[in-house]
Amino acid sequence: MKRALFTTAALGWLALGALGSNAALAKVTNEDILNDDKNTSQVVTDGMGLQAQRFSPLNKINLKTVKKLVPAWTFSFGGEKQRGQEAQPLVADGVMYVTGSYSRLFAIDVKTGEELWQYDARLPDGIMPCCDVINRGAALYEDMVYFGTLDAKIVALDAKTGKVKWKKKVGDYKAGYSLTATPLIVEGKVVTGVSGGEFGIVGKVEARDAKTGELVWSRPTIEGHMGTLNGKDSTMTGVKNASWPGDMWKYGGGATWLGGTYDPETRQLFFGTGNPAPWNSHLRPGDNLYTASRLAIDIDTGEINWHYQTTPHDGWDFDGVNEVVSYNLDGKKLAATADRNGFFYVLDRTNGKLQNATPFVKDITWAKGIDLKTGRPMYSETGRPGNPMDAEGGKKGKAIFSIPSFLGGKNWMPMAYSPVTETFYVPSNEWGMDIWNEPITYKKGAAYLGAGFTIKPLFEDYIGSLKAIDPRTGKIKWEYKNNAPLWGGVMTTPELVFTGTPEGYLKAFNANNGEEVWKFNTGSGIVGSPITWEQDGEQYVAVVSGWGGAVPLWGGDVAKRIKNLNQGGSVWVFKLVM
Amino acid sequence: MPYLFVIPFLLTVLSFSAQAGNIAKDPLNSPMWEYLAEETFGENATIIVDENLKIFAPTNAESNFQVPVSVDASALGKVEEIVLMTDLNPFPIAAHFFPMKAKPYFATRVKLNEGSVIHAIAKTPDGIWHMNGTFVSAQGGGCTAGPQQTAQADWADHLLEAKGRIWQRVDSERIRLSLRHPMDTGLSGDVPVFIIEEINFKDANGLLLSRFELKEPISENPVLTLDFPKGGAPLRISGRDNNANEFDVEVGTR
Repeated sequence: MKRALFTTAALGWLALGALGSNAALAKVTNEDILNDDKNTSQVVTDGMGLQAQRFSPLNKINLKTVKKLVPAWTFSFGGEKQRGQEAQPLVADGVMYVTGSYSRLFAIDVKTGEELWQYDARLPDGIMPCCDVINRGAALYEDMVYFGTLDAKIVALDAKTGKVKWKKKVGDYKAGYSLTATPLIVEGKVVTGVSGGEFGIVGKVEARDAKTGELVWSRPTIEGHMGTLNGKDSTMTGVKNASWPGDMWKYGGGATWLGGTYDPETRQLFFGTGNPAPWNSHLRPGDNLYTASRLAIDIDTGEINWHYQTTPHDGWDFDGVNEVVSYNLDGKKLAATADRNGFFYVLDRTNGKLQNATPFVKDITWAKGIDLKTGRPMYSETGRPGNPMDAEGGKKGKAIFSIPSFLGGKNWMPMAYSPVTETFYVPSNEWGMDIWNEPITYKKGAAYLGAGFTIKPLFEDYIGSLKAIDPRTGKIKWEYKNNAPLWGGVMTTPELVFTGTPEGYLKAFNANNGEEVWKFNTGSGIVGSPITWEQDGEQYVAVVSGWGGAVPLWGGDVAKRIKNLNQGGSVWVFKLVM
Repeated sequence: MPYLFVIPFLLTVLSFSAQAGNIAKDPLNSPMWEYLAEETFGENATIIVDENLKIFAPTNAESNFQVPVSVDASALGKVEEIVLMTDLNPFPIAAHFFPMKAKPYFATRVKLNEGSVIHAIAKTPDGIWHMNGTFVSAQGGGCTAGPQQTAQADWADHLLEAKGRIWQRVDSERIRLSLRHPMDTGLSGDVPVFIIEEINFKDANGLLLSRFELKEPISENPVLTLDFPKGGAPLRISGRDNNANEFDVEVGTR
């Protein structure tokens, strides 16, 4: 009898799958993707719009009503694979698509919270993700849903059934490549970066035909490497050895691990590039282009239109990957980015010219400021860890205390921009590190750092700091302090700012003054990005919950503040109770 | 006005579907047979017991992970499809075989979660399903214990490596193919379902000759034997798993 019951349950699940597949699924068109910031009935892009402002004009949940925000349903990712959940969910045509740790993708009926299908990538034992087995989310186009896997593959699935349509290798996982960022879909191309900056890989941005997965163009991020277009060599990135000594460019890093954003107005992709490899900067004198930079890339050809390097000759692991958010203000086409190095930059997005750069964390040690004329940092003479070759025995260079730490004034967690308050809401962290350099040589698949480090908090009462920044002046309008480091994305509406905390809370703040107006504990730490949408006349908010990511793995002395945070893996959906 | 036409039509359909199907009882008394037959072939299917359909498997399984099974439906004449059913496995359907140009014969290996009747059900062009079965005694655990290969760190290095050969027989060319694949059922701890889903046999011009669909019960590192009419070699064999890992090999006589 027990047996029969089990089989019946299995068949019942199959029947449910069939039901889901019968529902007519509207296709996600290029127009849908381009208008995602305006269409409040769905969320079909990472960033709630290609420019990644993470702003929704929906205002049913507002300062007056937010107190009545309650859970509508919750969904568990199940299994024993409860690690960091850094995804942003997508919602299209009544279905939520959300990714979980260990390269899992779930399709959920958005009305009931019931699973429609689930896809689990079978991962090799040898994957080498640096910073937890996370995934940042899926992408939608036509009748397919796409996501990257920890073994550096991009997978396209039938959005109705979860069956794989195609899968392509982005890099060799044994050399340290992986893929955790959300793919970006623009004009029928699926654009991806690649992870692996700690293993001496070479970063690249690639565009594939979204229907077939065939490579259209590839753009390496390190000068000296050749790009391709339509199966042929196109142009070399930069000029070989212009800013790299010897052969160091061959394993130069510049991982594009956070993916990118797109600006339809200038038809440019904006991808950030990671740290140069190895971390020990004394081995690679020069600017090390195009590491720690923002690249504006032509969507049709993969050519670099302009670049802006936030940390030339990076010696602190200040990746330049953080998202570029396009916005228009005072009649100018601008873009803002809050760097790991602690400075908030405003660029003219038509040409990459620096407009303003201001510190958004306290007591930055590595640079005194950014020269607005040259766009270059004014390095502090004592701000760089010492050369091991200058030390006795040549083994360990002089250690220094650096602010920010290598986990950055701001890490991957995306900020939001409100065109209503004309303010950026930036999730940041106040911390420093002891860092020193060591000798290192490249070995395939081995960590390529040449540095040691310990992260330390700066203040007794907080590390995390959500800041409202006026992009005209760089002035901080308000700040919310959080005990544990902030590691989740931000979303904003006309009156509210939403973000999650490692302590498990999804919180809402008054967008104008930072007053905390609502919170709900989701049971595990939040390191994902919230979304909002409207359906059947009601406004919904969703966020994934599940503590993890880089902080518990790399956090050093921060451990004390996070040791009691437990893992999880679920989606929470909220709406107003009547 | 159109309703006048629709209502009699609906009545016809209803009266037809109300008819009891004709599913033969299992001579081996497998407890799941009638339930599975109705689920798989529909309640209106006609299924007869047919001794001309041969199914071979050992009386006792030496290993639950690798139970050899072969099915020969040659005596039925033209056959459109053969279904292999491992009744008491958590996923009972093991394979769908569409012979097309191949002879209605195959041999492979299956996992058994416990002692079970294995059924072969073959469809002839008249729409009738012919069934036969054999009981295999086995110990527990073939589907819920992890395969040996998952324990190996390098499984991904050899994934879908294929070996095959064609033998000339008196009246046919026999092809044997073996593939490296864990064929995870998804029932053992924290390992998702990961199986080869299809193997397609094509001639030198790319024309599809035969198709074999695999399900969870097929053993780790699957082996498959088919018979083709003489003169077909070499064959192009391709396929993919549920993660879209693909293989494509040419197999000739040696």
